[in-house]
Amino acid sequence: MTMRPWAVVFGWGAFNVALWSVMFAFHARLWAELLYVASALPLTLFGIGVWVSDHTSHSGVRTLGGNAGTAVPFAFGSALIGVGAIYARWLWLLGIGIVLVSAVQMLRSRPEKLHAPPEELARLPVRTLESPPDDTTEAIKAKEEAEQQRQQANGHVKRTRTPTSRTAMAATAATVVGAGAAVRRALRNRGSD
Amino acid sequence: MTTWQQRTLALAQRPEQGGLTGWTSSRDHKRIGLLTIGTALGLFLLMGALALTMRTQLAQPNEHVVGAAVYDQLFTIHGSGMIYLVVTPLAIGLGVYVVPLQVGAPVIAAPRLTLIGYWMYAFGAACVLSGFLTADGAAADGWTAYAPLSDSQQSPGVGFDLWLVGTFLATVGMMCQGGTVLWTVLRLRAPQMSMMRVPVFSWSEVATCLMVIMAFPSLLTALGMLAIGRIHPQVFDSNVWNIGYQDLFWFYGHPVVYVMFFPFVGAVAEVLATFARRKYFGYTATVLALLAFAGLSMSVWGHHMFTTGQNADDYYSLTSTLLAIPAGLEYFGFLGTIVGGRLSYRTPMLFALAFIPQFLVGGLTGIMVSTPAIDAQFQDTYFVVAHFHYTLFAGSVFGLFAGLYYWFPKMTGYMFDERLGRLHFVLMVIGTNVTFLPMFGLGFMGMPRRISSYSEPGWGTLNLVSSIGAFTIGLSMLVLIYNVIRTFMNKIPAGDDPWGGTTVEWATSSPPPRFNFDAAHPLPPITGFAPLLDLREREQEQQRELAGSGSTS
Repeated sequence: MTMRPWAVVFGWGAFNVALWSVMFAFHARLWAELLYVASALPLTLFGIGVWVSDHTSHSGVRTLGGNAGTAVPFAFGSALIGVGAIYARWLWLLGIGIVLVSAVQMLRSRPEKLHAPPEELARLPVRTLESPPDDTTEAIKAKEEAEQQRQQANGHVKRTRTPTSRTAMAATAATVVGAGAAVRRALRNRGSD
Repeated sequence: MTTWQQRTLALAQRPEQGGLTGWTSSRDHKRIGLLTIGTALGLFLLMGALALTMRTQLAQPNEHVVGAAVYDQLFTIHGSGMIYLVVTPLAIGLGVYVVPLQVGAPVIAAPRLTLIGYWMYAFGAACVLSGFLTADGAAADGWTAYAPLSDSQQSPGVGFDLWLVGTFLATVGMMCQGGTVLWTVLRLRAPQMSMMRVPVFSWSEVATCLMVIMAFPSLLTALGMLAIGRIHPQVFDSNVWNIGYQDLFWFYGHPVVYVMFFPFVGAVAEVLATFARRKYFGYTATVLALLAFAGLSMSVWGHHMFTTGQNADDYYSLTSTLLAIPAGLEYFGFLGTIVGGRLSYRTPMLFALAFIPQFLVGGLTGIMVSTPAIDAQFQDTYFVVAHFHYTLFAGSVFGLFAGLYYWFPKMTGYMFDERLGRLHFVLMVIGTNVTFLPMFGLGFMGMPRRISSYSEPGWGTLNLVSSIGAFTIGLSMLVLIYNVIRTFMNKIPAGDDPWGGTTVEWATSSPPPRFNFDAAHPLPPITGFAPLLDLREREQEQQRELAGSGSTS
């Protein structure tokens, strides 16, 4: 059995959508679901967006820049904003100032101080941009090649998707269609009440 | 050579700062993990002290060690502290330390974000606790802070405001850390480590962190709603917002229960496999069960609201009962690993073995209260208190100690005293069951939770027994503290792999180098989810073959 990282995240999300759709279909708790979606989804999508868009992160070095020490004032400033909201506006403003200064420090790119010889780098057990992407292990590679050969033998055009990713996409599509049908049915039932 | 490669080595060659500055601003996931675990353990002792004060008060009828108002503050800070500031950070902090090692990553993804997460949590904890220093005392509305009880008319004073700010910060902090742990497993695994070669503990962290990023934002919204209610209390005149708050809170509140025990299920799985000297049984089923369990946990929140009468009881009852299926699969995994294994009863294994039946009590009583008719009877009684303490203390905390004893030699490089570890275990088992088992009886008798005193004479005996048990747990903590001090004084080297571990963190030094693996401790070939066991078996096979060829020649 193989599993891709995105299949874990999106498959798990689709499972949740399916469960909520069942509830909505039978009980139409739209209020509760909207509250949840409004509160959770923006941050969740932002997190997933960062993860998906950051192609360089698999090198293991992509981080926010600046000094690590800025983490302390950043968190302290955040606490001051909260405490200032309770006690005094000047404390609140001070908190905002500290957070902004720390954030600017963190967003600055880190200077490259050292340039390493390749032989040193080779000894470092980290992934680099030249290493294979996430989980193209030999087993998966072999499976992909076998699938491509099978398709070519059958006269199909060469495709890049693996059987696993196709299954996951089909499952996601089926979930979305099922959820849509459930919602439609619930709305229709509601109208007939 | 690419810029990124150069930067990687630049990071590797930069010496790690020592001292206070080095620790407080470190980007090393191991240091951040230890800071998180250490802070949470310190707060665990503090919250435990609050619990002992409450148990002293309840030991006999009509006791008045503290007044009712202070008692309300004690149970609020004990409950919210244990959930927001202790067990959740321990669950995620353990992931911050162990996950990059287990998946063969040199660093955690976004280490600064992880560090910010720690500091958000630390300042949040300071805010929550500083409520005790204010004129009106700390928050006193329970860990759920239900509105309208928590609005500014019913709960005046800044203690609750500080609780609000502190809880918000700590939750944001845990989201930062949870996000980076998840990111590490998904993006920074060693080249040969496919998802289905990721160890069970790291999978448990994946499931945990999925819940963290999906469920924790709703608590932030709920807290924001409360903040608005503090400024404009008339918001909570509308029942829509009262129930809306509860919905939002429990969107977070149920998954967080699993956030607080999944990593310890994973830790127990690792411990069982290591001390049974075999591969974990039912790996794939357990992984799928963890994901299904996490998914279902997002759809059961309404069972906390059965008695509001505004809920889809049948749906929530069904989804809550369905949780028994993935839980059962995990139990099959535990038992399958033990049966047929060559068991070695070291301290981590003892805690892991005790976790299994004790957590079962918490789980089975959970199925009981997932039935609306039964829940209506037990609502707000000590039965519920017993149920969640069996889940979170007899379950999660035992799993936590299994994991901490297991990874302690890796984290520190020193071996603890085994006899003291066993003494800690024995006292914990006795204390836990003597404390929480009588609470089921008190619940059956109808004793309400959160009362500061009682005059019912029939409740006295069971309450006294429960309080004796609580002090036994306190005693066990003293043994643990003594063991830790003794370990750091004696400094007995643990070696790289004192237990014969199965996963890759045991291939590196104890404690591991800055980037986890180096030339002296390279990553082993990753052939499965237990690569070191595979390696040992291959070596034994080769030795047998050599011996065989030697004897034939």
